Amino acid sequence: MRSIIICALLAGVAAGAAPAAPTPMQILEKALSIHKNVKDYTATITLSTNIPGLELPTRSAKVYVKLPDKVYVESAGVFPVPRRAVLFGGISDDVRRGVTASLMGTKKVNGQTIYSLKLVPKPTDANRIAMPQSIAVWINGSRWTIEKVQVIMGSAVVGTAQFTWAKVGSYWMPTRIVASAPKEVIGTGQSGTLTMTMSNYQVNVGLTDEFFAQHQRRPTPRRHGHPHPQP
Amino acid sequence: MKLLTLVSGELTKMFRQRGTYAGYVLLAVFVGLFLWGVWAEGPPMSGPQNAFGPDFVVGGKAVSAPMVPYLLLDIIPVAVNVFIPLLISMIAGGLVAGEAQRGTLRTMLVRPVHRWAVIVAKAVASFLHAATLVLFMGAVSLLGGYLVFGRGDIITFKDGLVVLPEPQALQRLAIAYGLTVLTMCSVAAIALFCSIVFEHPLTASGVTVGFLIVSAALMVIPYFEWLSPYLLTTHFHGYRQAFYREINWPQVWYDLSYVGAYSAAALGLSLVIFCRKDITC
Repeated sequence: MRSIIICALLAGVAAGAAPAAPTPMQILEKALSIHKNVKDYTATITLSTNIPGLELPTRSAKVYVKLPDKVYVESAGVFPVPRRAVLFGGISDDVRRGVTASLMGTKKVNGQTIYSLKLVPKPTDANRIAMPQSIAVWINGSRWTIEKVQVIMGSAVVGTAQFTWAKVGSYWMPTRIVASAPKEVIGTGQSGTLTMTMSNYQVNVGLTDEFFAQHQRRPTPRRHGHPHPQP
Repeated sequence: MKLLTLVSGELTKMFRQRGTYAGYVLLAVFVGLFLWGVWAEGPPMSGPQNAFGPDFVVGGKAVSAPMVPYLLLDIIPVAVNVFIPLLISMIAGGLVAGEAQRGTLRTMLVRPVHRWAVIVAKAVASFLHAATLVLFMGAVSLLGGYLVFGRGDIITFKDGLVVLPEPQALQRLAIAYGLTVLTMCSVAAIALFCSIVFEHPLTASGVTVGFLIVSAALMVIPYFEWLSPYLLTTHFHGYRQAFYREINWPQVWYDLSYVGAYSAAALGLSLVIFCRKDITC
């Protein structure tokens, strides 16, 4: 009887001493908050693609970003930059619209805990338009960076993004993002990959709204019935 | 050597006419107006931002120097379809008929030269004229483009979105304009043929243009769909292949073979008719 009580006490102490495992939502929020002190940044992005139907030369450009929504790409040639990737807004936007997060598992990789979460959009009007059926997210528990994202429709993965990170000052910033889509999604019998490599980061340099206003594209006057390009 | 002298003589005669220069001036004015239009109104096609959608921020220029000669060839090919063939017909149509009208043809043939050499020299001169018109339009539009828009890519929406960086864009433009020169040489050959058949330069020019108009009209009339693959105007736009991601060379050669066949037929008939013709004026 005494041994049972001792065991129960030890178990209670142990339970009290161990840190409480974070909930899936806490893991997600921690991952999303690592850039909350980043107001703006500049970086050199190198973009390469092998997406069928999109022939872009591999080239670099300087991007100027002011969170939460301003991006300017300084490039002589055509250079598309995924808006949500540089604004760190991919998952944040989905979370803002409302998701249910559940922990699918944890794994130790090189001594670091990787949390695997499944995000299912709440059935709101915004989500019905904007969100897929679910998103799988892998988060590094030691630095709270998102390592991988998979967009799932039904049982099929329709898009994957993998991230590589490096410390810039006191912030973890992505240095490489590889986004890929399977051939079923692209519809040309060939899968495609878009690789963005980021370097020369300068964080919190004090970019002003005027800077972005100055570099906004001059709207082109058009004839009647000749629509403006989308902003 | 004799042939070169004849060609040189034909070119001298051609470029002594003010009408020849009027063609270049008109082309320059046309390109200038086109440049102004693109600068003021934007390109006559949707830009890369539209292609990528709102999820992307697209850096770089929608219109740059190489885009201008590209737009003139591929998006608004009015110069290649109408303007340049008309200018070629005006000059090549007068090469023999004009001399016949002026009464200089007989004098020329009194000289100890073969008739075939005279026709070959006139053909070479008309081909050079056609080539200079096409290349002039390309050069003026490219230089004007550099002055107005600066350096950049060619963006095409063929076979998906294709961005040709500047060095490749210039190379593709050279190919496209080269192919256009070959195509326009067929117009010159037909105009020369008409110039031999008809004794009035205006008639020769008119018939050449009429032939092209009828050919283009037959392309769009459904009853003559079967005829379409054999029409010259069907193969006028082989140069468009230069703006695809990969140039479909078999298709280019196919188009060129028809253009070449029309040119060869027109030149062959010109030689046969001219060598047997009684020159009475």
